[in-house]
Amino acid sequence: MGKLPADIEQVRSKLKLKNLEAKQKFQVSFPHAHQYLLEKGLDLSKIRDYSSKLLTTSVLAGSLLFSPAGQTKMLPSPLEIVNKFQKDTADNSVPAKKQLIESLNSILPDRPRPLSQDEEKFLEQVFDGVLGIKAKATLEGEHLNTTYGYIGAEQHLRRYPGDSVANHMGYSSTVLKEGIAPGLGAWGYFAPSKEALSDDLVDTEKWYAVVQTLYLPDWARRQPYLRDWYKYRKVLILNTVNGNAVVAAVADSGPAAWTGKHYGGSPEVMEYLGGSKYKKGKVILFFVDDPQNKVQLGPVDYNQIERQNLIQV
Amino acid sequence: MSLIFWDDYLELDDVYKHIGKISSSPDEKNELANVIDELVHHRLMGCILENLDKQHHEEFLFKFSSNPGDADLSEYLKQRIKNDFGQLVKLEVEKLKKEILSLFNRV
Repeated sequence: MGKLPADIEQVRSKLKLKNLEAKQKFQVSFPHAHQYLLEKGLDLSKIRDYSSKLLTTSVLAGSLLFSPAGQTKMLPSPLEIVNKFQKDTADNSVPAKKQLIESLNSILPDRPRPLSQDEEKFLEQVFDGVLGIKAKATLEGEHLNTTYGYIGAEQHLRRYPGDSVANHMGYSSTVLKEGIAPGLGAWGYFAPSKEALSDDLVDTEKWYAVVQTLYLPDWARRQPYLRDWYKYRKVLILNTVNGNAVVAAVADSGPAAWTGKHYGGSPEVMEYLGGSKYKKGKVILFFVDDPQNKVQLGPVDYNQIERQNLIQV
Repeated sequence: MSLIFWDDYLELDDVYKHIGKISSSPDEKNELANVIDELVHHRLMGCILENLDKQHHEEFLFKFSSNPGDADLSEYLKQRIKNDFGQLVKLEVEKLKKEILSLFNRV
């Protein structure tokens, strides 16, 4: 007979006990290290908050605290890239997506890390010029801990009480097999009932993203403003390996840092970014500056961009 | 990117899935995630200090407290720890994963 799963109370108690034991063991085994960190005012339990604050300060100061020497590439002129892009797509010599990937490769480090302000500004101009989307690393003063990281696959979210994966009609079998998350997203149900679920909200769940609001240095202090600001916030997610891009809406908080990922994507987002077997990959994630709510959720269509460039020329 | 340099070695997806299954709210999920985060930090710092010669402890702690996300810290440790540093951390993470997953079974 298989083991029965423990309930939340049991797991919480056991985890807290295990955590306490680990802290005590650390203090006993390495009293000098414990004392050193104490004198520095550093609590190992809160090291992520500390590091997040350091990072924010570094980004504000325009420095690149997290970038090892030699990993910063010289930035080309975004205008040159955009002009070349428009010329090449107009005469059909180089596909738009290929050009964008080449531009990204020219500035992005292999290993994801927080980008400098200059790098982010460069990408903003390239996205605007190439994709026609105003995407910002910092929007209305808000910035995630990183705009370049790993995205991981998420399940569908329950949109209203009683929702099940079978109700997600019109979805492909690939995305349905991911199943539905047992818990709710960070903002609860999308609608109070099936009848109240609008087409917009169907799209919001279909093209949803997950970002690590839980690790923002001022998340707890700036409530409820930040919670409202991030709810269904549009983001541009771009796969830096193949150039596929989608506009998604933030609908959950996570994933935990110890999963090795920085963002999450709905089954549809992940399938579009990298195909049916895509579970994890490097992406750029910027906020979409869309005060008029004109940018549609879903895939960014390169064919349409190329057609527009042809018309312009 | 890492807020802590050892984040690159952490892949505890299975644990996160289990948390998702038993949590009834996002707050509960985040609470458990944070407890595990603290646990991971203490275990990995312990693992590093255990394998790093004591003469380097203070220098390492100074570098770590100056910037816990510094990717160069991995290189620093690789040069000073006799065993394969990456492998060492991965083994500790794997061991911890098994221990945490066992907590999800009713006794």
